[in-house]
Amino acid sequence: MNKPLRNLDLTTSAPLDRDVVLSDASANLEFRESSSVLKDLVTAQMDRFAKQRKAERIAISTNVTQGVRFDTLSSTVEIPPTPVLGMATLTRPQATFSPLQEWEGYVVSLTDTHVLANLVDLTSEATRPGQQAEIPREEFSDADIEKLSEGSVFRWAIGYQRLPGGTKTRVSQIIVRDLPKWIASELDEAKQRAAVLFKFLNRGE
Amino acid sequence: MRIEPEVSQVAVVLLGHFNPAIFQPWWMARHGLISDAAAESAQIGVVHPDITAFVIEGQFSFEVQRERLAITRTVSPYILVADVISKMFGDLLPHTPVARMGINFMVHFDAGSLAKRDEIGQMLAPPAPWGEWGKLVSSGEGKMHGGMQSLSMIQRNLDDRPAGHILAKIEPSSRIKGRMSGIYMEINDHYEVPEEQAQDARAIVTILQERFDRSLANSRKIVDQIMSLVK
Repeated sequence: MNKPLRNLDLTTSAPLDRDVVLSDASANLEFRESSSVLKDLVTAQMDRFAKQRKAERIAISTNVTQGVRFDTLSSTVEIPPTPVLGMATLTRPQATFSPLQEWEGYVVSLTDTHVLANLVDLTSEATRPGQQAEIPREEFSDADIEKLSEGSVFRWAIGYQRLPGGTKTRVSQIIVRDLPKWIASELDEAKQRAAVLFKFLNRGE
Repeated sequence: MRIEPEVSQVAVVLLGHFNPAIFQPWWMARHGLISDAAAESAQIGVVHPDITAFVIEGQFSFEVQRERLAITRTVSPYILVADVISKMFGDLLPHTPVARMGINFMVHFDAGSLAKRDEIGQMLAPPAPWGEWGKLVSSGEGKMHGGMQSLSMIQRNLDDRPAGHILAKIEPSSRIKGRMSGIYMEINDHYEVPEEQAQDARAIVTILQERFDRSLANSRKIVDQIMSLVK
């Protein structure tokens, strides 16, 4: 069988390394596969670091600070920072949540208790708001509430969350979208398009 | 999708030139990509000039090497990963060279029974053309029963991108272990930009913003088609 997708092939597929049994697909979702690549990389780095340490024992024998250059009698040595390792964190299964329904919301107004928003039903691939909803503020996370203002855009998904232990619960999750700023060239382009459209619509006058 | 997946995940992967050492949770918090609380709760795997990897539970997993950056989310709304990358490379690091991108969708779902999963496997990869060996592959019971192990299909004829492909893969799932009835699918929606546009991240960020939702919708349709075989 051909070698499956790997990061070193420079593919953009998510799994990093499929040297595990192919049917063990869950490895993707638990970073087990990527951790083998990580381990290789980290081991290589540690080996390199260890060799460097051995070769330049004089430089690092005392008062070694991570990432500091040392001028020794023989050479200038650059000490790379020591990796911080916590591989177990990358292999721990995480909760998953598949949406049954998802909307994009546009905040129309805010009250002390609720957020009034127009909703676009993304599940039915709608492109325009077809519903309006009054959503309690508690549905938003503390960090997101601070970002809310008229015109804010958010995503709202409802569905089942499954915990690694198998517990299944129905949940609703909202995130306020933090979109990139418009840059001057994009605004200029939008203005130019608007001007063309304006000219077209008023051509009869 | 007609069958609710037991596990699902979305990952955006960028290929370009990155400096892994800078991509740390507090750097993200300082620039408003994540909250301070999220940075505080980040579980660090590795921080090193060649690789940085950490997990922010409930939000995303992040991993960057010198030529590859991946951000993965297991909980909906998945759009968060597109927004973080768009802001990171649209506002903060727009001059980062990025040439290729994959929007990946992965699911594990239950086909209901081993017999049904086997039936789907035989539909997609019939053993008959394999002759006598094909008969042996299909023989055996339970864990001794063989069959299709991994199958990929690629679509290259796409007019919505300068270059790229859609690669779908199907395999038995071991995440749904005990029942031996799970199916794993991953869809890699891959985009490439011409060399002159790969000198910075703008072209890829624009594609990501414009295509993310449609990409996932299309991936779900591909998965749903396979799910439809579970009658």
